[in-house]
Amino acid sequence: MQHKEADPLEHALYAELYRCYAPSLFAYVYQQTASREDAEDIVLDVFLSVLQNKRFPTFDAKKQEAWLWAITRNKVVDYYRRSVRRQHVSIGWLSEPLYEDMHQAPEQISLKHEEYTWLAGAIRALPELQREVLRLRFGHGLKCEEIAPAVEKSEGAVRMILFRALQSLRGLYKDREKGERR
Amino acid sequence: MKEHENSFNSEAIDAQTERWPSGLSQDEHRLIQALYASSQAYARENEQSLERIWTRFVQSQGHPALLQETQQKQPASEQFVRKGKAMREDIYQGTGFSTPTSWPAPVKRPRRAIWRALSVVAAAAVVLILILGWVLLFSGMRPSTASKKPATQVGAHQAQQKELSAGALLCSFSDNATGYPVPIQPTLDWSASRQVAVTYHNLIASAQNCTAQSANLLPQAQQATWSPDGKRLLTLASGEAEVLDASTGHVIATFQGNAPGDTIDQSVWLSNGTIVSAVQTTSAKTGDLVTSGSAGPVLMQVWNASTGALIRTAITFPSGTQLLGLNVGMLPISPDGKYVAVQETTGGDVEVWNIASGKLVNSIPYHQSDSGLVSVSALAWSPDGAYLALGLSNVPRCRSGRWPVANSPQPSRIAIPGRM
Repeated sequence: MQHKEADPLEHALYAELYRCYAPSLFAYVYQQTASREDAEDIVLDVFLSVLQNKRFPTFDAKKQEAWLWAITRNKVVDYYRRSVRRQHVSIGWLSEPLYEDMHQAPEQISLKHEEYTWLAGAIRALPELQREVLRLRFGHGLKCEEIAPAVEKSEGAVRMILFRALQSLRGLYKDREKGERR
Repeated sequence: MKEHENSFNSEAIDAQTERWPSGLSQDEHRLIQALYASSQAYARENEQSLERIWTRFVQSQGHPALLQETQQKQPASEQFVRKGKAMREDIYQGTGFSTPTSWPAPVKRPRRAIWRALSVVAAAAVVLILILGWVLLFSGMRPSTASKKPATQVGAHQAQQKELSAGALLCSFSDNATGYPVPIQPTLDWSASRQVAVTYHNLIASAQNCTAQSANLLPQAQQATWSPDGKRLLTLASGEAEVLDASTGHVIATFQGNAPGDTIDQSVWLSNGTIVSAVQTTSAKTGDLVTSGSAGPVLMQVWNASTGALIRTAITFPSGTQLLGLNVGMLPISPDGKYVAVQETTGGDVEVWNIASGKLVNSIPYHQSDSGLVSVSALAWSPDGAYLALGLSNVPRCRSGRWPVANSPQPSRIAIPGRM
């Protein structure tokens, strides 16, 4: 007779659950705690709660997502209660890019460095919510529907925020290029 | 070159902000690349954080005490953080587990497996001691019984016959020395003449007169089914099948497949003269350059119930094909012996094949890449074999469209064409 252990499937399901939700949950918690280590601990705690909830596997996908976010927010609130600190992640997520292509000419590197410095300044001038959405999109690789629960906005609102942020930056880029040509 | 104006679009903004977007003007493309480049170091740290969390999660699954400790509330943030650091050190240093390069990769949990194996061994030992003690006690109290003699009347099994009324106990039988000290599940099968074949205790019990006979079934039989005429029993155990004369207990035919190492799985009577069996072969038989003894093709073979001779191989499924339901104690062959349900290699389509014609009659296209992981958690044929109900661990795609995520068994039904 053939026997198949349930463990691999169970493991795979947790893996899929993690792949699906951990990035956005982590992005949210990191933003709320401003501490990478605390964020890691809290997200781990959330997924351990999944293990302890025997009814979780019976939930449909929508309810699973809602449950994960509710638990995460509760744990962040608990964290606030225990912590005197309360600060959000700053603009520090932008940094000078890693120059993996070391064959680039020093002039090119210098120009790029100047461009990224300018970009960081331009982003800093954007409204806070637009900066946050840019961070989640480019720093965490989240799509609009994943960003939505993290910023507690609708998916449509997130699309519009991201669109406006990019439009603003694009306009600033054009202005900068015109200034350089003069 | 004239540049596009307002080519960013809020509806398509996800696609337009991919790593390598298309349909954007040069400066827009440059902006997106600059945003990614500026976020590169931060994004890499985030990936590493996610890897660390996943590693700790997997390790916690294998360490219940750690799991319990982690769930306890901590009074202060500092303790919370310290606990996490200490836990990471325990995990990385104590177990030698290194941070994975990609997350979440399938991680084996050897410790958990060892504990599970030890638990099973301990439980089996306890059951063995209890059964042996019980057998010795009864054998000392009773006169010797002809436990292995075929189909002899066993008066000791006779229980009081009660008046037949709704909900009343009609008969009750207890085991004697024919019980095997192995914790396997007994099976029951009714004949047309109201007899019940009982595996494990190896009895043939009659509901007509509340008597029981010891039956010469295969040791640790996992299946004993009556022939359509109720005169013979098909027994399945230890990878072979036997046909017995139900009245005498004599072995009429034995079927062991075509090659050493073949394992006879579920078998069903097609008629009084023929039986169809699912046969799991080993790769050695096929001549594959694979380690001897690994699973080879699965065959559906029809054999003679009087001689045990192979009549024909109806279907040959490729190596790795799973007969549906066997892993959960259910039956892949329909009760009428006409259909067999299988799942393709590595969790592919769920398929129903006609055994007589050897043709595929229906399939559900459940591929891991399309619909997520699927595992059959329950299976039941309708009595006439016209319908197959499947309980699937269905895993719909998550709303982000990235990966599947849920484990909610959702019954599905395959309707067999032409039989509705």
